[in-house]
Amino acid sequence: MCIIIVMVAPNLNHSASFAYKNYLSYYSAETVHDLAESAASMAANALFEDPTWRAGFATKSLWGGTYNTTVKKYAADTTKIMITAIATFQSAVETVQVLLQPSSFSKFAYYSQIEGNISWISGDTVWGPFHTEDYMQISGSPVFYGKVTTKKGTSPTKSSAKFYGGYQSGVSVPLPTGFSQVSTAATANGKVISSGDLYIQFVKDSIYWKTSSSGSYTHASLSTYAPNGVIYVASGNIHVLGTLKGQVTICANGSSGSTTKGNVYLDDNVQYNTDPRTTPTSTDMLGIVAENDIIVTDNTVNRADITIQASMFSMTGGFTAEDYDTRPVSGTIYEYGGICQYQRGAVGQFSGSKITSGFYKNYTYDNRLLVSFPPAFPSTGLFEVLSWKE
Amino acid sequence: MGSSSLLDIIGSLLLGGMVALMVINTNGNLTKINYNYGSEMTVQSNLVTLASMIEQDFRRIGYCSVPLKFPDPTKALLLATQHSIKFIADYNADGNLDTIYYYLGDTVSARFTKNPNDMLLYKQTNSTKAVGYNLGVVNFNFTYFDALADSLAFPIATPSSIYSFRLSILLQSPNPYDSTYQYAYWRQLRLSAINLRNR
Repeated sequence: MCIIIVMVAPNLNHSASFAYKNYLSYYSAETVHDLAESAASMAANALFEDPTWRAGFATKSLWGGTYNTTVKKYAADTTKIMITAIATFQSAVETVQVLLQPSSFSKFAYYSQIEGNISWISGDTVWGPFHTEDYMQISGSPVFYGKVTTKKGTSPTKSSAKFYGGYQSGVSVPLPTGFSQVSTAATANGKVISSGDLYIQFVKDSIYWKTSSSGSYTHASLSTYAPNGVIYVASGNIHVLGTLKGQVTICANGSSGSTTKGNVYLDDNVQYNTDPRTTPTSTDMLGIVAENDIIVTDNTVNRADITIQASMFSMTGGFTAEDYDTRPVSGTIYEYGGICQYQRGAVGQFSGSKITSGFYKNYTYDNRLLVSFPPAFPSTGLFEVLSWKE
Repeated sequence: MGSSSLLDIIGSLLLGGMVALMVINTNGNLTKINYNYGSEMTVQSNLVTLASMIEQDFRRIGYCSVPLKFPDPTKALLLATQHSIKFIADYNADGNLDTIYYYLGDTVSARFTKNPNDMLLYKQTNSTKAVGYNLGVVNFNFTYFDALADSLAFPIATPSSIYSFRLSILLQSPNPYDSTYQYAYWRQLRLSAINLRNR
């Protein structure tokens, strides 16, 4: 019997110790992964609190292991930042890399500073990120597929709204107070119109422009007119229409307190040469930026629908239709992009479920705006995560 | 021969028989323990291998080294059922999107083991032939949660509403001892791929 025991016992010991080693190996792998993930999260948090933070963390201890974090410009695109967190626990090593880029207002499918008396109701559906600095008024069950953030919360506090992308209150993303970013870019390698209005028509990668409604157009290639795609009117309005091939941001600034300048008028369809809805690899992208309003002009061509493919930003006004309360029923606004505005503007009036003047709305979010933005489009001043590699 | 010798002989036979029985019993117990230890070790080792592989793959859901190629990672989950999941990920971090599909076979798929409950776990990458892993999988169950941590009922019509999920795995040994199978259980309470909701 002793011989049997002597023969079997080593095998039993081996099995027991191997099972324990198996457990330890898994524990090490999980711990080092959690360490690396925590280090990357802490670095990302530091960057969110201070967008200029680049110090990183040098050999810190945590949970019996150590971690190192560096924050550097991303080599392939220096506007982006790469956080690299390397953690060590016993003999296990793990690396987590986080790619971040400056956050642009163009990422929002819908942004407002003030909601006013507007409610989101059953039948309303929003794709893409949503934010308001005001209370979000809800009636019934509107559906939101992107993440919804508010500064003040919802009214009522509990609602039947469907937040499929998540909901968070107490988040503040204030509007900028000026267009220094746009004007700087336009001055550096774009086009600046120091005063007066600008009338432009995109014809693929060419631009036709004039400075009065009655004048005749001059034309040039976009790359010659505004090499970096940024067109800035310092004190006036912009009228725009046409089909764009390229990436452009147009910005109308005005005199402080005046509403007669700093508006962008959409005189006809404004659309992309390559439609990203059918060709997702399209690189055409338009930013429309106005200090005051972005307005669908009341003219003959806009009496039968209008197509707008752009990300729109209105700093003190909103997106609206000219004479929205007196113009005849003008069809539908087909908007593809996103809308950021100080206060939601009206595009029509309705009675019951039918409009009596102005437009119906058909707004669709351009998913490309989650990761890219028109040149020099207003930034939130923060960084956002593009990808997280473990 | 005297009566005392006869008693000695009977006594020896009894003692010898008892010792023999003890040896046989000990041998049987040691064999059982040895077999069970070995089975447990195999099952645990299989579980660690499976859990590590799954965690590594699931952390990549929605990841793309070229973000512009996949701007909306909420669309990374293509199929989500109780016993299977299909998702998009840049598996090799080379900028090319891959489709990974995990699904459970039926009990017939592992018919070559004596365990009537175990199944093959299949993993298919893109359109290549699915690889079956014979690890003694008996349960491979998902529970999915939305952004408000409410569990989603099956069938899930819109996988993009999934925010996180829970995975439970039960493995058993392929062969029993005394009709008893060794088993190991693993559950990840909240598997959330960070790239799924980072925009």
